[in-house]
Amino acid sequence: LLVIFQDDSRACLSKARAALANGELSALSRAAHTMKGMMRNLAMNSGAEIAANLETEALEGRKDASEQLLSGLEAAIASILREVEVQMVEVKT
Amino acid sequence: MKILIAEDDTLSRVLLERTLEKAGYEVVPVDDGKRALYELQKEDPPRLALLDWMMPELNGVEVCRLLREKKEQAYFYLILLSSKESKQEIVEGLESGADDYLTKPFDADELKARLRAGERILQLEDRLVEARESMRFQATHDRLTSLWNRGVIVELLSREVSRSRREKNCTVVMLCDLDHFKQVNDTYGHGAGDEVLREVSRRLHSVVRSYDMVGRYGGEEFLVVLNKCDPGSALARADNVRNAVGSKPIMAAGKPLTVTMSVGLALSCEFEASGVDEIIQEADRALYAAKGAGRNCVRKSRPGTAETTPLEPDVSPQTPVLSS
Repeated sequence: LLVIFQDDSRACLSKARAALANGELSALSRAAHTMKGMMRNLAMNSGAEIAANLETEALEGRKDASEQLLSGLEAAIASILREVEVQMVEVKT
Repeated sequence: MKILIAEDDTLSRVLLERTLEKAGYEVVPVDDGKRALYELQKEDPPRLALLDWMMPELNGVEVCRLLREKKEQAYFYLILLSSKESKQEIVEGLESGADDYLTKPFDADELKARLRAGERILQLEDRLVEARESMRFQATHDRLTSLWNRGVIVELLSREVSRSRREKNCTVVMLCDLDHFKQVNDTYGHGAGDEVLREVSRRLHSVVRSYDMVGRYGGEEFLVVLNKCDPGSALARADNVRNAVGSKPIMAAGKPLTVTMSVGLALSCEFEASGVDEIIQEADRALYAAKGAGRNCVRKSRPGTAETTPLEPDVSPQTPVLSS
């Protein structure tokens, strides 16, 4: 599941970034929705919270707030992924 | 039991798949709404479905709506899965035709309990459909022989006659009556009589084509309807039917009984102006003539006269045999 998360969260984040760059806020909201679901499934609640806020803000068309939240989400996911990698190395050894 | 999971997020889908496979379900996973609809419309589809609300192509709510528009199909138990939590959204989901609604992330025990509730509904539906089919069969078939009952065979004949008139072909009506059947009942009892009727029915069924029709018209009377029959071969076909019954003994009450049958024949194409009741009357008149000619033979009604045509080449009337 963590391997799926590694792949899918990266793909989803780059989709979100591209959507924001193109000003497609509804596509950004959808990507945030997917990330929210993904993280809730793995009990990554603080990350899921940011994704939930991003979903709402993007849906309501607030670009600046969305930009900030997306950066926050990227940072949160990056830290989760670092942790995931550490855990996976530990499991392997 | 088969279950469809439609979820575009791989992680959620894998989690659901694992949970449900462990719970003993046969999982059919898809990642968009269009495929979900496709899987649910295939032969022998899963009848339980977990549909994510937000999916590419068609979303879960649209899948529910499209499925519910199709009335003539088995019931599907649909559970919408979403992280949308507002009352308004739950109402929208259920109004689209979903049976239940589950918010993500799901709790495995709650999910399984809700699926069991769905299975109970589907089992109930199966039992109701089975009961309806059994009642439909009972309402249209004769209880003893499982042939069409009188009302239905006459109705089928009526449709067939209308069709053959439209298509300019001929429907053959045979009214068949077992000879001296009362003696079977009187000598061997009604149980033996019933066995004879069942075996005669089987033989009648096996001697006609799959699209011909056989019904029980009365106690020991049968109505056989041959579709699109060549008028020239009607007598020979009727004699085949007669022969199928009388040519070898029927085992009843542990004894081989030889039972014969008389057949009266009428062709729809020879009575173009007549209604179905009149055509049956003509067949009955021919049957009466067959009885008068010594039984165990075929007679055909001729239009415009009170006469009947014997089977040609003529089969000498045989003395009805009731032997054991």
